[in-house]
Amino acid sequence: MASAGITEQVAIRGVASVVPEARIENSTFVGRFGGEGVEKFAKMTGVTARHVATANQTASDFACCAAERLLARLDWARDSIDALVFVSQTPDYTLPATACVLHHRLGIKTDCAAFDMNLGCSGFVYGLLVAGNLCRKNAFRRVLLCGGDTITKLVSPHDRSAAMLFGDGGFAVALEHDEAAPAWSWLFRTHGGGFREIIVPTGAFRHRQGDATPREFGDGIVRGDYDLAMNGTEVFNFTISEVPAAIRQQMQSTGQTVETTDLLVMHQANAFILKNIAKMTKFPMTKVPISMDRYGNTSVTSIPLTLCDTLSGQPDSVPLNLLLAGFGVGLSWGIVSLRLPPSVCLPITTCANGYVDEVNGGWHV
Amino acid sequence: MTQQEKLDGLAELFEVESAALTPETSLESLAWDSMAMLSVIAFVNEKTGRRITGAQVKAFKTIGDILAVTE
Repeated sequence: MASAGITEQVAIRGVASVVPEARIENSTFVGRFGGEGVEKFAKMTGVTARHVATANQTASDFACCAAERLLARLDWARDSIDALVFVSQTPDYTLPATACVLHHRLGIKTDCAAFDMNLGCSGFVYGLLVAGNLCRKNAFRRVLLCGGDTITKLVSPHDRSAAMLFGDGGFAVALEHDEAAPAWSWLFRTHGGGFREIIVPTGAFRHRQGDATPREFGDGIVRGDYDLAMNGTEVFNFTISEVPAAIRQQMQSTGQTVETTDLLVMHQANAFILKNIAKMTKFPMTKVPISMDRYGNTSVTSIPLTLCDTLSGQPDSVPLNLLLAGFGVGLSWGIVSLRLPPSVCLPITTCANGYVDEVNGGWHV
Repeated sequence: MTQQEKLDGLAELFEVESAALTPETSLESLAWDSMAMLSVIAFVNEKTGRRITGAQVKAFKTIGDILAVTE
């Protein structure tokens, strides 16, 4: 089967996740959505607080901070990075690729490949697929997989279904070619017919301009054309039928069981969805970590953020058997089975600054 | 699966005693909010493997409407 396979001879040397310093409690939305509305939202999604980027912070600021910490921790020379991949749906610019900006900010040598990937909820596992497969003998020895999103900037503050759900953040993962590393197994899927279910329709090139005026779309959803639109019910429907099936199929092909899997780390879509998937795949919630109660749905960052939240501080260098599951916007989903020592995960830190790009002052020649 | 087993499952979902539910029970008399609607989608998927749409769920008026799609 072409969309399932293995990636060999690559090791994860480190995982770092960074969130904005500004933290917002969802209780501050009581005035807008009412006490009962906020309480119901928390009960369903599990989110009570989120970290939110300031106006001058972008996803790459958090990824840059994460990469800096990782390089310092691993004592990797900037000249040793052979490729940099950046996964995001909220890049710094329409062009150039944010990976090029990060390449500059991190001071990496010219002899380095750098490019962006546009995926969200499934972006981390897709990023592992691409960056992991770059790390091959006679190819790239060291690869930085970075990513992040500031979805809060795409959400209408009046959209009851999304305003309290998303958080911002970024991550960096250090990958290295290692002939002794255990293989990763993976499975990837796409249902392109569901592209409308999670969409920011306006502002790119199909619909360059639209009406930014917030309007009522039913069920307390008030947004404009430039805001994120999410068909929550259909996304839920898709998730509970496709994701458990993909997890079961992956476990069948790798021979792993609930007992032999230490953690099922899922994209933090919504705690209610995660509980349903756990129930349908027979995973106890003790093996399904949740970080979205404090960080919200952080899009591409949610899996590395949850890894850092759960595993950092554990000195154990014995690798854990992990199942990573990313699913959502696309509609797109992927499952990766790999072994990871908790000791490679750094504690989550915050970032208060935004990059001063010196662009708006005029042309640079 | 018997009708009583389905009613027991729905009673658990709506957090009421199963004796309180009959096919005639109106959903409006229960906590029929977006979370309950998603729970019903998950319930039907789990019990029958069927995928029902958001529009179908929104049109349900009674417990009997839910039971009908699990036949």
